[in-house]
Amino acid sequence: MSAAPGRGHAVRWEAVRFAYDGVEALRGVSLDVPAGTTLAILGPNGAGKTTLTRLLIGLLRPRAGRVSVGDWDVAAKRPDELAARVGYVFQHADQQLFERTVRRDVAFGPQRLGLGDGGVERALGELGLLGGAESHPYDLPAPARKLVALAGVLAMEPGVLVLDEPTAGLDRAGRDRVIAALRRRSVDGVTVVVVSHDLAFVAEVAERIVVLREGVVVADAPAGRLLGDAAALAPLGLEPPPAAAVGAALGLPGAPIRVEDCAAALGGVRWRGTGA
Amino acid sequence: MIGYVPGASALHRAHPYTPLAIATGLLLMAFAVSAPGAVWVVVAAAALFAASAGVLGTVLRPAAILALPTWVLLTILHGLLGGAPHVMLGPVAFSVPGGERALVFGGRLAAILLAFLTALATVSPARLVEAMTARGVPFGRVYLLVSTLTVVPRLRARVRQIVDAQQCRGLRLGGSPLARLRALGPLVVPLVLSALAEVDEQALALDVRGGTARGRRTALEPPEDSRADRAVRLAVLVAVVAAYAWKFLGAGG
Amino acid sequence: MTLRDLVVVRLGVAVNLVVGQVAAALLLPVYLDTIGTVLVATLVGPRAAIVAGLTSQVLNAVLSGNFTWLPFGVVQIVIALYAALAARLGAFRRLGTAVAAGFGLGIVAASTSAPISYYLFGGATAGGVTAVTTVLRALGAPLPVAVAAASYSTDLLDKSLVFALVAVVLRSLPRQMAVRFPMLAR
Ligand SMILES: Nc1ncnc2c1ncn2[C@@H]1O[C@H](COP(=O)(O)OP(=O)(O)OP(=O)(O)O)[C@@H](O)[C@H]1O
Ligand SMILES: [Mg+2]
Repeated sequence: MSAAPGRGHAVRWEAVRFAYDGVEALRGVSLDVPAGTTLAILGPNGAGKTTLTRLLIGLLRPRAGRVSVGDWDVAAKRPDELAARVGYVFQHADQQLFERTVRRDVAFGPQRLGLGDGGVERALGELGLLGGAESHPYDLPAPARKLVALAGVLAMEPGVLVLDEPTAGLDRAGRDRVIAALRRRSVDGVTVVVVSHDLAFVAEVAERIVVLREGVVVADAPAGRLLGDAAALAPLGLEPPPAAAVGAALGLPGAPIRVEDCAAALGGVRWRGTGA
Repeated sequence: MIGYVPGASALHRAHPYTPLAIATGLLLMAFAVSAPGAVWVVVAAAALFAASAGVLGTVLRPAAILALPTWVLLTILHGLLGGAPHVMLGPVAFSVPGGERALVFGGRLAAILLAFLTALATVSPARLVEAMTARGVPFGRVYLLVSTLTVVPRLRARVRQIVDAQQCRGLRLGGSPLARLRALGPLVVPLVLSALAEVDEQALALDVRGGTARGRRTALEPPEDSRADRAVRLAVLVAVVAAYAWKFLGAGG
Repeated sequence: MTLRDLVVVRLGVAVNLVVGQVAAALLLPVYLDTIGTVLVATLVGPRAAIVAGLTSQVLNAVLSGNFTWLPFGVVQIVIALYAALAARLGAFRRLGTAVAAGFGLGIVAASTSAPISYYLFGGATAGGVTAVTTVLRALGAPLPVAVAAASYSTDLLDKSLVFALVAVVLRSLPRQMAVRFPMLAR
């Protein structure tokens, strides 16, 4: 049973522990993510971010605790079964491409799940790949290849979308397309989980932020509040994204963290200024 | 442990070709003889070789682990399923000629494993490259082949990643044999394509570092090839030739 | 061989050494560990393929510690030469001919490795094959027959798959990559 677009699933980690032969990567993580939320997971290298998300698709099994996606207990499903609900974009996703054309590669996942071509064309269009859809993925530059891999997962129209460092290696245009695609998924009610070191990107998409460190949650707050609060970010080893810093420096109303909100607030200031 | 074990034994200090020659000699000797007793003399010689390098304790474990499954199969294949005459060992009939054959083949395995694990433990890869370079083997080639070992872990991680990623795109690893055969394409093709995509980048990087294929480089510190080294290698050669001469001429005559 | 050819050889060897992981993940009773050698034969030529095959054999022994496989290096040379010939004859252009040629290689390879296995090791080599040998022997087959049958059944499937996969890879090769291998144009 695949998730129809517009129907996300809640995601829940309950007292989850995980260790790689001896090395404790997660030491009791509990998170409840309602359907339709866009969650960003931040934290230093080795904090356990990737481990936490791999549990969602069944590639890792918790040593203790429970992971669920909607009404599915992840422990009872194989990764290829979970793929009907959870789309996972790996950090080096471009290595998984193998078909002779971009379109065919993007269609691989939907075909496995028995879905139609609608998602394929939509994903290609959203990520600006329609022009090169008949090219060989390896005839495209590396950043475009990463978008092809992302499209391959978007095309499966999962109810939960997990992305590990989706903007790494992307150019500006690609990054903007990813942001737009994720926002659209969020509007459709899809639950989105992004792992990223790119705070400017996180500020553009996330509603809620969780910070992990050494396998435990050290912060969990709405994105607007946390990213706009330099004093709260500092002890976490994070700096406010550029738009938030600008907003804070100028004392903009509404403490914007996204570039467009910041611009709108700036416009508002000027408008009020000239209008007075 | 499998691999180089630093040490100060005579074999560690010897020219890298010497332990390799001894190991190869032991392998050839193991196939030259065919009586169980003689084969196990070769095994003892291989153990002595390991002991003289001070690595017997280190190589015994991997050798045993590698040999054990085959020994078990040999015992079943030849001992239990072998021909008459049989002896009764408790409730089971054990073939006498089969048992002898199992001892021969099992001994060969043991000798080869001990000999080469010892060579591996005593020959430092860096010194081997120096020695080969000094002998005029083009550095680029030696380097390239040795450096394959550095490519392998990265490719292993990539295989894991590809297997994970395709599963997340709905590819099932299990199922009917036909389904599993069909799953080979989506797993093997990305591995090979991504490897081939690296060719030009790697060739460029190697070219910049001077690892040209035909370029010769003088060895920095060529390991000394002493009179003793040459004597040992000559002795190995003589022993092997003698063993095969005896095997074919002696047995055939 | 140019530096670039050697880099292809190195990647071919590395693929040989890791591809067994895929077969293991799928629980398929095949090695696939000559796929890099066959690929090098089609992309660069027989000499490079022999280097790739022998290097794989040695490194495999060094990595696993299982040096008993060294005498099977002969088989690697046979595979390299056969694959280069098959490529020259265009066997990889179609999946069907590739599988047929791979089947032929299976016969040739098994005919080379079965005697080595029988005479040097009494039929006890390389895990899976030995298990098959033992089962056949237990069912009453004479030892040489059991060894041969085990070698052939494994090799026929393995080499057919290897050739089929190489044909698929060659067909999947992007144009930019393909033009860099002049051997392919023939
Ligand atoms: N396959 C593995 N084997 C052993 N240890 C691992 C493995 N993968 C991760 N670890 C360890 O588990 C811990 C958490 O790793 P994880 O990859 O989840 O961190 P991360 O937050 O995603 O880091 P990064 O920002 O670098 O991607 C780290 O200490 C890491 O070294
Ligand atoms: Mg990570």
